[in-house]
Amino acid sequence: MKNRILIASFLFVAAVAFAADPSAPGPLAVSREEYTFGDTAFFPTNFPGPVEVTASVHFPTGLPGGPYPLIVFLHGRHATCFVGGAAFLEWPCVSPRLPIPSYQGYDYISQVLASHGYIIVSISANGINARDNFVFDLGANARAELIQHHLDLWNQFNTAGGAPFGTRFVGKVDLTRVGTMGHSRGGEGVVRHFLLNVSAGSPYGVRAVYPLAPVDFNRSVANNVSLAVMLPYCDGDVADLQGVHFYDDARYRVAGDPTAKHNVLVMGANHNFFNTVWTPGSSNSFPGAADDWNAFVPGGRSDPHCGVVKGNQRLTPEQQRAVGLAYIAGFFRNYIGGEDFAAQFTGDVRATPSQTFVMYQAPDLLTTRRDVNRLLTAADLSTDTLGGDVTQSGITPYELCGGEAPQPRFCLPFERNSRQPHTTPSARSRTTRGLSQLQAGWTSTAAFIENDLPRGTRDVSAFHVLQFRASVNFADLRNPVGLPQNLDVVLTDRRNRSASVRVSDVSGALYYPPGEVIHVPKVLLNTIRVPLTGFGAIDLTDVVSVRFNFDRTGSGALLISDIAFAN
Amino acid sequence: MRVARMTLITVILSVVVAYGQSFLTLEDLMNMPGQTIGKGSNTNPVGQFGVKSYHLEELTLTAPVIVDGQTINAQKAWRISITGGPFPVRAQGATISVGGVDLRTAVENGDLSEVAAITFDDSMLRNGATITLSYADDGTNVPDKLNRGNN
Repeated sequence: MKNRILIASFLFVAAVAFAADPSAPGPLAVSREEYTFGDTAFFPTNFPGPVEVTASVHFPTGLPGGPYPLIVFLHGRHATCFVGGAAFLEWPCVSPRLPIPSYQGYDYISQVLASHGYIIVSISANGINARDNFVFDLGANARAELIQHHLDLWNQFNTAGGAPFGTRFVGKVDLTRVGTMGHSRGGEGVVRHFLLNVSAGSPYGVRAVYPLAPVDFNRSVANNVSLAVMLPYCDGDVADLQGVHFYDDARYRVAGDPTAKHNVLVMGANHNFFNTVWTPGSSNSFPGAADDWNAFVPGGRSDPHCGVVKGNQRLTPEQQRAVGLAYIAGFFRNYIGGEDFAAQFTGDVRATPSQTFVMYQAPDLLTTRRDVNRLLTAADLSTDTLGGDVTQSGITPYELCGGEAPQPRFCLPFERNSRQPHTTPSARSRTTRGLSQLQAGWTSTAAFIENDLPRGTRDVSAFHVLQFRASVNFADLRNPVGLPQNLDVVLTDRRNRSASVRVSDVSGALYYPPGEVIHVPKVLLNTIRVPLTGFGAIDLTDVVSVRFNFDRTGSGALLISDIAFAN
Repeated sequence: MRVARMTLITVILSVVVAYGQSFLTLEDLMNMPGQTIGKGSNTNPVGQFGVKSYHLEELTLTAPVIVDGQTINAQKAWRISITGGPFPVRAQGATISVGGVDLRTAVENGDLSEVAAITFDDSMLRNGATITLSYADDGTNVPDKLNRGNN
C-alpha cells in the first residue's frame, strides 16, 4: 500500500512538472509562403523521371531574432493530380489537371512550431510518387536526395540569399539544428536522408528524425540521432506497422549511441488523418482523400475498435491531428529546441487525451541506461546481459522468438504479419529478422522469472526506473479475451529485503490488444516504466535481483524484451 | 528566332533518343503497345477496390531492359493488368500474383483504372490460374481465371 502511494505521488509530481502543452501556440506571429523552381527542376539519381522543387515555408513574421532551427516535413505516397472529383497518378500533371498539394497537409503543425521560433519547410514530392514503384527501393533514395536538395537551397538562402526570397533569410537559418518529419513513404525517406547526410560528411546538423506511420521497405537504420516513430493502431494502409523496425533495429546496433529512441503508438488513429489534404471532409481535402481503415480493410467498418460500430475507439480527424501535433511539436521542441518535453516520450506523461503507449530506449550511456537483459539470444535465458543468473519457475513456454536464427521467425506463427509488426517482413529486405522476444506463459501464481545482478552492477540508485517492454500475447488462450494482464516487479537487495510494484499501478501497457478484423488485434511491446521510488524499502545501492512474479492472474502469456534500469 | 532554334534542336534530340534508345525501362514496358493474348470479361466490381477483370499482353522487346540497375536481355515480356478501381495510391505497394506467384511491384495507371505488373517469365501464366491483387496481407481475387487463348 505504501508503495502504491509513493508511486501515485511520483506520477502526480511528474504530471505537474511536465504539464506544459507542446501544442499550444507560441508568442511569435507566423508568416507562410511557398516557393517553387518548377515541376521538373530536380532529377534524383537513377530515378525514372523529374521531380518538382516546391515547398511551403512557415517562419516567424519579420524574422525578428534567429538564426532559427529548420524543420523539414515530407509527405508520403498519394495521388498526384486532380480534376473535379477525380484523382490521377502522373507527373507533371497534364492540363486541365492540377497538382494535389499533399505538402500543405501539415500546416497545422508548421503554424505552431513557427510560432515558437522555428522555420518549417514542407516539401512537395508528387514527382516521386508518380514513379517510385518503378525503382527497387520504392523511392527511398529519391526522397532522401530531394530533402538534401532543399537543404542545399536553404543553405544558399542563409548565406548568399537567392530567389525567391532575396536576402530575407540570410543569417536567419541555423542549419546546425535541423529536424525532419516524414509521413508514410516519407517516413522512410527521412531515415534514408539522415544516412545520406551522414555519408556526405554531415553538412547539415540533423539532430532529430520523426518517421510518422512510416514504411520500412529497405530496413535502413538511423543511429546517433534522436528518433521517434509514431504508429497509428488503426492504420489501414501500412497495416503491418512495419515502421516499428526503425525503433527495434536501432536499439543495440551502435554501442555508446548517445541518443534516445522512441516509438509512440496511437490507439484509434489511422494512416491518413495526420495530413489534412488526405482527410475526407477537411477544409482543404482533395480527391484521393480516404479514411484508409474503412476504405482499404475488407470488413474494417465492423471492427469494434477501429471501425464505425457503436462503441468504437476511433479518433476523429481533429483528435488525431491533436495527437500528431502534440508529439511532433513536442519532439522537435525537446530535441531541437532544448525545451523539456521528455516525459511524454518516455511514457511517464501522456501528451493528449488520446490513448498513447510509448516505447523508450534510453541513450546507451553509463548514466542513462543499464541493460539487465536484452533477451537477444538463447544464452540470455540463463545468463543475463550483466552476467547474472536467470532463473524461472512455472514459465511455459520459456523461449525466444522473432530474432535471429535459430529463433523461430515469428512469435505468433498462425497469425497474419499485420498482427505482429515486430516481425513483419520488409518488402525489399525480406530475410532480415525482427525483434527478439521472450515468449512466456504461466498457469500458476507461483510462476516467476528472476534476473540476478552480479557484484559491481548492483548500485542502481542513480537510475529513475526499472523498465521493460511487454505485450499481452492475444494468440495464447491463457489470456482472457478483453482483459488486461498484470504482474509484480520485485527488487531484492543484498540484505534480502524485497519490495514489489504492481505493473497495473504504473502502466496500462498490459492491455488486451483490441479489435478483431484482419489486421487487429496486434502485439506491440510497449515500455513499462516502474519508478524506483516505488521500491522505497530496499537499498537501491545494492540490488541483487529483478524478479517478475506472475502472481496477479491465474494464467497468462506475454511477450517480453529489453529489461533495463534507465533514466 | 533563338527560341525557335532551341525548340527545333530539342525536337530532333527527342526523336534521336526515342529511336536510338539503347535500353528500355520498366516505365517504357508499362506504356508500350502489346499484343493481347488473354483477357477476362467480368464487369461486376468486387472487393474494396472494385476489381473487375484483367488483360494479358505480350510485349516484344527491341532493346535490353534496365531493371534496378541490372540489364535484362529478353526477347519478350508480359504485362498483366487488373481493371477496376479507382485504385488507391497508397504507401503499401500493390502486388499482382498469378497462381500464387508474386510478380514485380505493380504500378497504377494514370487514371487509376488499372494496376499492372511486368514479368519476363511466363511460366506461371497458365490457363486457369487465379489472379490476385494484394496490398501486403489483403488480397482480392479477379473473378476471371487466366485464359491465354481468350483475346
